[in-house]
Amino acid sequence: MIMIVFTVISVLTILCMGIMVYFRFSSFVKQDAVESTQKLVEQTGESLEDYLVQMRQISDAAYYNVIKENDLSENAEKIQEGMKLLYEANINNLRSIAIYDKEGNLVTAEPVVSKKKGVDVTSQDWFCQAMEDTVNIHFSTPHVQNLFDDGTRRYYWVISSSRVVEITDGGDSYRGVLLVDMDYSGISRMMKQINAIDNGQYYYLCDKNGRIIYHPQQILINNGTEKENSAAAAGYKEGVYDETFEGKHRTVIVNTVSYTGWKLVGVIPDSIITHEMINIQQVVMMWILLMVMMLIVVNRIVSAKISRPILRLNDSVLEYEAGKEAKIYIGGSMEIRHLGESIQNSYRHNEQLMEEIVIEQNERRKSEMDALQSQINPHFLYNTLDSIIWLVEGERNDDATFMISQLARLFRISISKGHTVISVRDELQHVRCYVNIQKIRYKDGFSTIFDIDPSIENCCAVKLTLQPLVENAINYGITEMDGSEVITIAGKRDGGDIVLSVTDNGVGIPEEKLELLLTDSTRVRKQGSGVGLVNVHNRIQILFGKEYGLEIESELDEGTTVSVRLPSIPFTQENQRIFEKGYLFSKEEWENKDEKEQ
Amino acid sequence: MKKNNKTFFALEAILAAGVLLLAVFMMWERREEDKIKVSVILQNPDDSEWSALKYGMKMAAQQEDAEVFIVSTGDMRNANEEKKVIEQEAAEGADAVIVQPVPGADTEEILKEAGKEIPIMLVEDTESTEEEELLPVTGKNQYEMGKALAQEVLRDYGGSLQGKTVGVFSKTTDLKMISERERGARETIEKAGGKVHWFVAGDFGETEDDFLKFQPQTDVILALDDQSLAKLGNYAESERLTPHVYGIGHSTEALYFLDTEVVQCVLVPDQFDIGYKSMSAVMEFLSGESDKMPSDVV
Repeated sequence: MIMIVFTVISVLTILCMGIMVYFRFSSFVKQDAVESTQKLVEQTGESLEDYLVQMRQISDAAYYNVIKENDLSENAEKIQEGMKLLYEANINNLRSIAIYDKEGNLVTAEPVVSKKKGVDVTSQDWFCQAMEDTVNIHFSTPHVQNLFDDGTRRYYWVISSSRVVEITDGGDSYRGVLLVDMDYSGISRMMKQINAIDNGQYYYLCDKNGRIIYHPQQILINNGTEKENSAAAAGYKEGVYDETFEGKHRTVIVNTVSYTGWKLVGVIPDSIITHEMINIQQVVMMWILLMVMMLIVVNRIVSAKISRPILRLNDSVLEYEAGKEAKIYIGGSMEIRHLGESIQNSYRHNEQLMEEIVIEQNERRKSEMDALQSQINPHFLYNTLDSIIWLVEGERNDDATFMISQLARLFRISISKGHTVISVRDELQHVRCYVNIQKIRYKDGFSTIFDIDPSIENCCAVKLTLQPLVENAINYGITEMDGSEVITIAGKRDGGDIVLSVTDNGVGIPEEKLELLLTDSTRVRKQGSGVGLVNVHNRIQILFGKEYGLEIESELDEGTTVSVRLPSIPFTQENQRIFEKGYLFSKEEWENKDEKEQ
Repeated sequence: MKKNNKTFFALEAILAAGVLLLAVFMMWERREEDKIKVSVILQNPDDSEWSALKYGMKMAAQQEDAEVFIVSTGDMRNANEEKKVIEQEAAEGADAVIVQPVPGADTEEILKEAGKEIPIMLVEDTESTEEEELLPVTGKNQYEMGKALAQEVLRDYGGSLQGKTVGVFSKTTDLKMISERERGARETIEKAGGKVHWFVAGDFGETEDDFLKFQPQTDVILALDDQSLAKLGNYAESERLTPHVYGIGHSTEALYFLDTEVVQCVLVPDQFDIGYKSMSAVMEFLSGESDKMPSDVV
């Protein structure tokens, strides 16, 4: 139970932690992707701006230091030289510098190469834009330069910056267009570098109208295989935007390039973040599973450490209660040890008390037995001695002698060295003595028959059980004493028990009295030894249990039979000692004991 | 074993099985993340004529997050040598190969043998998509290209070539390709009333100029490949030829001659598209989106 509770709490805690970690990592991944893209876009934007500033500076230098400072007619060589210097200083980024008049005629160009035939520059975008807006420098989208023939039979991609310039020629000034063609490879190289990481996110460059300047899939976009949301990006200000394009959700980071209005756009498709999320999910899941596994083991160890001593204590208490184990477990933590010790002490006290109670009860029972047995002596002794006196006075010395000897034997058995349990043989002998004494007293006014199964003579019997029955039969059953009265004393086995009975053929007992004979111990006896049937019945039950004792059957004018039911227990000194100590055998124990001894 | 012991071990076993399954799944997914490798076998792969084709392949591969290896082969003389290169690429871990087959009647048959080991896509000219092919092909319809070139001539001559003579020149020795282009051009020219006066295919080395000089004069010369177009451009520029030159080419030199009006028309095969489509077909097949690689005509 402890383990289950621990485990449930642990698993719930780990799940909560796992979910928190997952969400924290997820937001971190997205934030990190956006931030790193933002940084890269900003850095690249700055590089592009530097590149464009450089172009602008070249254009400014060509205009303010070369064209404006010199008259074309007078200082043509100076103009050419100045342009040459500028070109050579920036040869890595420049493709050409050229000046055209407002009609589109080439005034001068650097490097000096032949002009291609049939080229009308006035229809080209860079020329038109410069003539339309005379204030600013204009940057075109990438295009193939097709103005000059340098003899290499090659074509170059350029970005043209154009502006209107004032050309002084022979003192007159007129408008012209200064064209600086930048090598597009500078920009494309920069863009290729940031697109080199092949993780799904990409960067592209478009002008303020959304026309693509660079895109990693430019050809596919141009031939319509792929599409790009550049028109929307051109309308965005600098910042981070979530958009859905072609059914796919993505995050775009937009940076505006100064001077040109170009937009540098970083695109992070959600699929990248989703992919990262799946990786995180798997790692978190693995972590949760391993943690749960580990915690279950730890919980088991911890809970076992806590619960095992308690369970062992409980087991030992249960065993103690079942009577199997007398020792209480003492172990585990200090508190449980203390508990064990307390229980053990408590049980010890209980045992001590129980022993005291048993001893006390035995003593009480013994005193009861002694008290019951002691009720016999005075009445009977008085009557017998009275009869002996009567015989001596009548000079019937032989009868007196016989009577004294029978009395002596009777007392010897009565005493039986203080034992309460004697053999059936001794009990019968006791009865015979008694009957002999009474026959002399009543001058053979009745006769007796002993019908005894010899096999029961070695069984245990309670001392002084038959004698009171015979006494009752003489005192209450027989009235005439004319010699026709017969008292039968029988003994036989009945199943696992033995039954001793005393039967008379006297007047019988009325039914209303019969019921009180074994229950009413307060009845005052008028005659006899003073030991009533209740006395005998109680003594048997004290020793052998409630299922034993007396049974009385009687019919008026027919006679009475009083049966004594006793367990069939062989008479031995050990059994005698056990019974007198107060141990009550169960019926099975008697039977087993009986079988073993037989 | 006590009940709680059983529960404990069962729980641990279930969790361990979960960990194991997850680990296997993660490893499997990681293996899935390994990029597909496609080798491209071209003859003289560094030639500029393949630039657009290679770029198209790289674009398609990039979209599918695959890797492209252009195999440095030198000059392969026959199909058996090409087959060895394919087998070598397969042994080195390529998932598929895109091959420009060497000329030869038995090439496709031999390459089909190699195709049992590794998926092969051919990038080459194909006569017709209706014919049964042994291997999938992404290429140009050569007949249609020859026809289209002749139609350009026809357009410049007002729809009729009645009485006009045409010479046809090719430096490429791939007979199948050239014969198809020539057939397409010839049928169109003859249908328009013109006549193919001569047809020459071959590399004549240093004697090429002399060879061209001795050909009968014609009104139009058709160059059926990029090399012949460049050669004719140079020749026409230096010799100031009167016949109009039309050709099929893709090099900047060919475009230069068009730009300088030495050549009247250049028909540019879309090599990028061939490269892109061939690689896309391979990717679709390898990723399981299609069960076979289809042939395609660009």
